Amino acid sequence: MKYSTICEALGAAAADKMAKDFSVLVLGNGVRENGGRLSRGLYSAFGSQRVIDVPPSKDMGCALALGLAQTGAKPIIEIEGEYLLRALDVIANEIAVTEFMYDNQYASSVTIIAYTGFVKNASVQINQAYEAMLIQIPSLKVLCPSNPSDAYDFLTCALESEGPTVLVVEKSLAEYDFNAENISVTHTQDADKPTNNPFEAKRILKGEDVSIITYGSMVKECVAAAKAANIQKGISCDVIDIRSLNPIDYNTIIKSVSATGKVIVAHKARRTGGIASEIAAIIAQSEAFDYLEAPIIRICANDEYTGYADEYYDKCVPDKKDIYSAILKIAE
Amino acid sequence: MQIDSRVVLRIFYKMLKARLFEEEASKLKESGLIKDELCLSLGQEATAGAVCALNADDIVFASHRNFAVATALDVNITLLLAELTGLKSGLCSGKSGAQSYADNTVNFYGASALYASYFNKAVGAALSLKLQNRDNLVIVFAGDGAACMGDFYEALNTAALLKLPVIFFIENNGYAKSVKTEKIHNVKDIAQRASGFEIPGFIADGNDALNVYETIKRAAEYAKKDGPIIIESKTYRLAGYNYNDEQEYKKEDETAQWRDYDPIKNITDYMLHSSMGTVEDLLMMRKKIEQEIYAAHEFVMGLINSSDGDKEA
Repeated sequence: MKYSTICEALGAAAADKMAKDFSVLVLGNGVRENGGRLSRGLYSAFGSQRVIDVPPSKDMGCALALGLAQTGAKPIIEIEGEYLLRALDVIANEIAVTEFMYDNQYASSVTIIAYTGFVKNASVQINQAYEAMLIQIPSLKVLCPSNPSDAYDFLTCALESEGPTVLVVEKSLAEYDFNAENISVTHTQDADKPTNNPFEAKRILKGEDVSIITYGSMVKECVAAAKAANIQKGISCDVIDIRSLNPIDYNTIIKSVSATGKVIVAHKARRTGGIASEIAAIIAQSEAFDYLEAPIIRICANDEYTGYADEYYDKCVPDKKDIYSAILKIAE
Repeated sequence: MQIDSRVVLRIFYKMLKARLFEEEASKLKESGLIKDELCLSLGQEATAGAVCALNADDIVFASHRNFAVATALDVNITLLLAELTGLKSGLCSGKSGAQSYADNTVNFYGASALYASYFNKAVGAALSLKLQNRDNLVIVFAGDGAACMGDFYEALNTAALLKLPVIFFIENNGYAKSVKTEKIHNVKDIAQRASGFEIPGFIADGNDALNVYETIKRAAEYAKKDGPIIIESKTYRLAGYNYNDEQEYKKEDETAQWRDYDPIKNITDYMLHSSMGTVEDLLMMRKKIEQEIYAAHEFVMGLINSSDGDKEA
């Protein structure tokens, strides 16, 4: 793989775009000292007029980005997920509504990279996975890369498209070395579709018995579990990475579920009101319902807090073992 | 500073236009054709003096109480009235209503219905101007209520730190909803807040449009060179918080006193005393505005009464 980590890919995508498009800027706290994740190296390459240090408030930073966007700039701002809810007011009430409310008179091409998701040994407030809140906001594009190659394409797409985009990057995945592990989570590019459209779900593994619908860091867990189930039990799984959380590519999901008749929806964020709930509801409302041979299974974090010590995380957040058990159960 | 008589006439014209526009909007609200909350600028029309002190390419943000700013900016009042009545041919196709519209033809970057949400957007726009080495500025019109909120102080800090060309124009109209300003601020003057950020803060007589004009002229010169500045415009909200507000919390003699110091009366007196215009001149201007508003009214009523509505507009 060209980039070994998602952050490396994001930095490369930003740099490539900044070299071609002078309206692309990076805003953040500590970007000058390379404090941002993606901005490493960008300050020395592009200087203080393109990589701009601002005070740490994230709601302020997002509103600043909108003011810049209204004048024609395309700012990128990085947010650590624990501050996403602070910024959410500005994202929902200002950035996302600008195009509609002002009837397309002003641009709002802001790209927000939110580092979120559960990690082990972090304090409770730092451990948040609130991407489901984002999909409640109409017209806000929400993309969640499961691998560096997608991360590069998603950021490029965000910087080329009109209106705001949030890239949800899971902290557990941001610096994960994909080249060091022997798990492939990339899809093969369709020959007839030369561009990687982030809004299309992609099949990571092809199978006939069980559909597994997932995104983000759960993709590699699902791939590992599916491969194990295949080798040990001869069960073949159709693993789909939805990639875009808003809008969701329902056609690909419905097609897969209609073919297998069995579906597991999996993510690391919490269960109640989560993205898996929305996907399950859509499957239940679609023609795929008639093909279902078993109840839909959701594998998600429990509706509780992930504490600091190992046991709280292990008890709360699912991994490949939970997916493996679910595959065996649903395939019975 | 001696203000050119043409400028005085222009300010007067815009102030009167704001008032007559709001009278028309009030009638439409009364008859049920405007369903949105109306937050009138009644008594605060001297704000037009600030708008007249700007250059055409300066960037403007405003709050929910925005009609005096919009009319002074020459937002098309026919389209605005159509917006308020929720017509497809309105300024924002009927999507935004009375509190959160924009008009890019006059650099009105938008009003926002949410308190204080405009401060940091304004700072972002000012950052953009600075990065592009442009010689214009950003002005954000807000109330004393919004100036209580954290966003204001974050905006001041960032703007001061980066020395951005922003004028924070705080219309202190005495009330935040039904609560007196002194019950929500622990300082006598909001302009005083500037000292904590080591930027200047000045007070203007918000019922004296010429004083507002002069203050903003100076503030603009400063902001472009040296960075942000707070201007507190001390005025009085003759209107309720919104149209349905009965204002039982106000003392009768308080409102009466301020009615005697009405900003439109003040500028009229000045013009007549300094022989800048005769009563006939002023009545002629009034007539012209009335005609413009009548045309807007007819346009809107025509669409409302036509059988197809304005679906194809």
